[in-house]
Amino acid sequence: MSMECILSTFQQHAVQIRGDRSLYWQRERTLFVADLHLGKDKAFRAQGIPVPTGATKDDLERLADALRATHAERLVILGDLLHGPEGCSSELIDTLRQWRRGFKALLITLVLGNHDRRVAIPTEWNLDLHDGTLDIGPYACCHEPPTTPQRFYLAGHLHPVVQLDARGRMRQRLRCLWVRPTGAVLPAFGSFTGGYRIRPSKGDQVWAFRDGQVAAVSLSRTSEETGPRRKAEQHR
Amino acid sequence: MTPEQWFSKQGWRPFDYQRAAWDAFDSGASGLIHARTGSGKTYAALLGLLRRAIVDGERAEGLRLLWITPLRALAFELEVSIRRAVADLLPAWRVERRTSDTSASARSRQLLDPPEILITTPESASLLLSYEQMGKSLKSLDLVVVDEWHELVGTKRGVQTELVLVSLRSSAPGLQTWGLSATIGNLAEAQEVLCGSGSVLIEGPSSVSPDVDTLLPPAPARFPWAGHMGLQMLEEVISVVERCRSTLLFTNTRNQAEVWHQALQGCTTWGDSLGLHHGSLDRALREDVETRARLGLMRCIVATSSLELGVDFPVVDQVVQVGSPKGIARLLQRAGRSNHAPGRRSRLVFVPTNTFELVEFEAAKRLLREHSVESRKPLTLCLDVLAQHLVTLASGGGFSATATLATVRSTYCFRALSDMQWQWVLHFLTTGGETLRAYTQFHRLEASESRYTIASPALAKRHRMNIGTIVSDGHVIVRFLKGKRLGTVEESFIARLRPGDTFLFAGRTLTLVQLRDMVAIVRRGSRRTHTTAKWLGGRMPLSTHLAQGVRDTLTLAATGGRLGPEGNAACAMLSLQQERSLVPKGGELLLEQVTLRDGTHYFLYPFEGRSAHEGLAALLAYRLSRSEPRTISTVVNDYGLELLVDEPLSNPKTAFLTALDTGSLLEDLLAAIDAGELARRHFREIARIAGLVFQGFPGRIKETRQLQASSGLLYDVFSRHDPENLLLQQAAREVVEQQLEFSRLGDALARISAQQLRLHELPTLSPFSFPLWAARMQAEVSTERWQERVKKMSARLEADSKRGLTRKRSGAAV
Repeated sequence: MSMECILSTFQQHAVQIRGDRSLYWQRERTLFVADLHLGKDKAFRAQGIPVPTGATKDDLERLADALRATHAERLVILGDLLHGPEGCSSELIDTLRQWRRGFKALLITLVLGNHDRRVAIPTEWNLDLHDGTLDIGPYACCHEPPTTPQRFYLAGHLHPVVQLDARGRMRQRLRCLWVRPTGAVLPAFGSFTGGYRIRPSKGDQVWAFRDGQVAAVSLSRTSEETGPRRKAEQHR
Repeated sequence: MTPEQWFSKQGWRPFDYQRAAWDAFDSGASGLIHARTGSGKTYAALLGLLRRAIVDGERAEGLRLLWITPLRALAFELEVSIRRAVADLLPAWRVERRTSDTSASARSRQLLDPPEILITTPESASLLLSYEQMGKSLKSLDLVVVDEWHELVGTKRGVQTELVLVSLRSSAPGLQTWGLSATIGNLAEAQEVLCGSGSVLIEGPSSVSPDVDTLLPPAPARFPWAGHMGLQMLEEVISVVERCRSTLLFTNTRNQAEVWHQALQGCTTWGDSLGLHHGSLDRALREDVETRARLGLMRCIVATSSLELGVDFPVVDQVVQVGSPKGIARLLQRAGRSNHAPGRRSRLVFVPTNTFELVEFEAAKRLLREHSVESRKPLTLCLDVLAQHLVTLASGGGFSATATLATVRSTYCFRALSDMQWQWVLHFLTTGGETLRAYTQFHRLEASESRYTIASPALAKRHRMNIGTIVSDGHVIVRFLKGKRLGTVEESFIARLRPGDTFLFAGRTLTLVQLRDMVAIVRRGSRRTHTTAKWLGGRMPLSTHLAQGVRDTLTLAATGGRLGPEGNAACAMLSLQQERSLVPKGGELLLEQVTLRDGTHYFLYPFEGRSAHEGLAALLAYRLSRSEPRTISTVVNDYGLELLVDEPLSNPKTAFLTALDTGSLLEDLLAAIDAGELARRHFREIARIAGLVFQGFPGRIKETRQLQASSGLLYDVFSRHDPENLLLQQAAREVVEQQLEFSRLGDALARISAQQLRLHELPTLSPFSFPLWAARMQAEVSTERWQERVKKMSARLEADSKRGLTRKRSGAAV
């Protein structure tokens, strides 16, 4: 899987939109990710729903790759690092502790998300925890996008996806980065996470992700504009 | 009193087939009763048991008869008819219903003290097996009756029924099984699926073909296009409805039903005697319409297939079918709703929504006369249903692996189940499915000494909430501010509306107030609206059977044979087609080539139905671009398919002949379609049935949100981390077999590759190609612009053809 990046600017600062669904702010050597939901697969299994293992390990590897590739000095997680107490097993605590050892010098800031609040975050992970909004440079970092933004925000929580109408019949739902004039909503970084279909308005920019690639979406290609009429009928 | 005496007390005389059924039951046989609706099938299946019970006298307590019906709504009617006989013949016996509508208290009482006769659905019957305390009561069963078996065979609910039946037989060895079925093409096979070999077929009176009339449009368009609702026939339909006391008006989609209901509401003074009934309406609304219909208060009900089955309205005078009938079995089912009494003919009125449907209606009329009906192919190896069934058994006190394997293999669906597949399903439920390593922390079933039980009572409870094979989409509940529920719409539809927007749903104009937690709060809207609730999903293809009928009708037209009134009404369209291009006879395959501004269009007309065309179009596009890379986009409808290319093919006839080759079909097809993506979509149903997707407890959506994942996401996770999972393979197989109708596609390809390919190069669109062109437009531009462009184009083509098309056709038959 090749990785691609696109350069853009948020608030006059150059940022890299990376195909692995992270965002890198070059000047401050800071990597932003949102919504990993680690341990979600485990939470399912604990409830008797057979979901294979592997997603959590994969996501941590991808995150490590991104940190190594960018030489980031700081990682900001915009909430929902963990899925919940059911998934936060001793095994996961161990895995994360070991993973953390690989990045001793890295400063990791976790802006707590609604899922994180249900868990006591182990201190051994050495995370800098923040509840609420954290200002970093020109960005207001938060989990849930604010309803009345004061400053340009970087947020997660929504797991935005965009629906594209491909020619022919297939329609695609792709995870996306949703940049509005007032802030940006990052895609969910975790691979075992669902999506919320966004409805971009004029003036928004959308980047879609698929298989480690990223591409700008021209808004006329989203189904918002062309509508689902042709498959509108169903029986019964 | 004997059943005969009871019959004469009612003023009836038993039919010979009813007596034959009673005697067959008495001899200990199982079998299938084939008779039309309204001919007394219920008593044919019931009274044998009552007669024996009277002779035998009182026996130990417990359940004696389990009556399985596919439709909840039927259960009530059944209870009434069964009670009527039981009250006179065996007054001590209790008759009860057990469906998802039954109250929790009644259900738990039934577990402790079961009635003699229980009427239930396949889902609720399966649920009975999940209660350990039910085990003893089920041992006393004498008879299981499966009603409307033709509706179940060929579906996963049918597979679920098969599994329930073999489980019941293994606990009550003398159990007899009787099925009731209307006509289907493969009755003998259906009988074998239900009863195994050595069973009896009892033939009752066969159905009388309905009286059929078609409302002929005054001037049928010569350039038909699908996609509008046939409302140009509104006035004629209103007068047809007004000449009778009561009418059922069937549409093919829920959206179409809403639109017709609104149009009728706006143009008539029928008021409350006009009703709407479809599967997405709240149960209370549907039941209200049903009740008023039974009381004879309804002049007209606009309905979809939700009213197709069972519900008996004695006072329905006629049935109106709007749009393509799609298949004969379905048409008979719908026609059977009218004059629902023995010996009376039902009355059916066809309303074409475009000119091509006139041809379909002509074909349908002929097939109805000939009693020629489609087959329903039983499904095989549905591992998702098996997984669900095993969890059910595990919840009901556990099962032993060896005995259960033998039982499962005695079904038609799983007779070819391999040891490997069986082991895999057991693994999947105990360790998580991967054969080499277990999923950590997973537990669902526990195995000890080859006996499997559910891991915890909580899991059993959750399993019971999610039993069933009917999969519904992400549904949003629509309700008024004050709380009255109207029904459900799809999330994808409502998500496009903003608060303040109005839309048409449940026969009302509604304004969206707020969308929250899968509930849309609405109030009555006053503004006129053009947005009608829509439901996604596959459109039903023309049945193989009706497709053949359409081809025969076209051959008849092409060879100057005598057509009926429908065919004659379509004549203007057909003769223009013949003049410009060709109406293909049997043995001919028409290929049209038209170059327009956007490229060169190739139109091919196999007349095989939408799904087969979809596969065929993908296959042709793949094979045509294999030799020379090019971009080809495709569009299909029930009659043909279109391939659009930038540049004309240098030798289209040879290219198409090569591409229609029957060799390496499956291989090429899988390469041609985005099989992965299709399977991913199809996985939804499998994931739900196999218990991967948790629907949640009613009214407790929030608590279960942590456990919700879309099936697409699960598909991705499985493909990446457990690619050997057999459920993935099942998804791929079901896509090929069911969605793309692979066997039908193969048959079609064999048929058309033997036909003579006739290439016609046309300067402009023909009547046959026009609907395909319109469908492409529809996919590409917005609604308003689409309708405008299609109208404009059709006007231009009409004008052209009136002028006699002075331009000479370039290159006629090649």
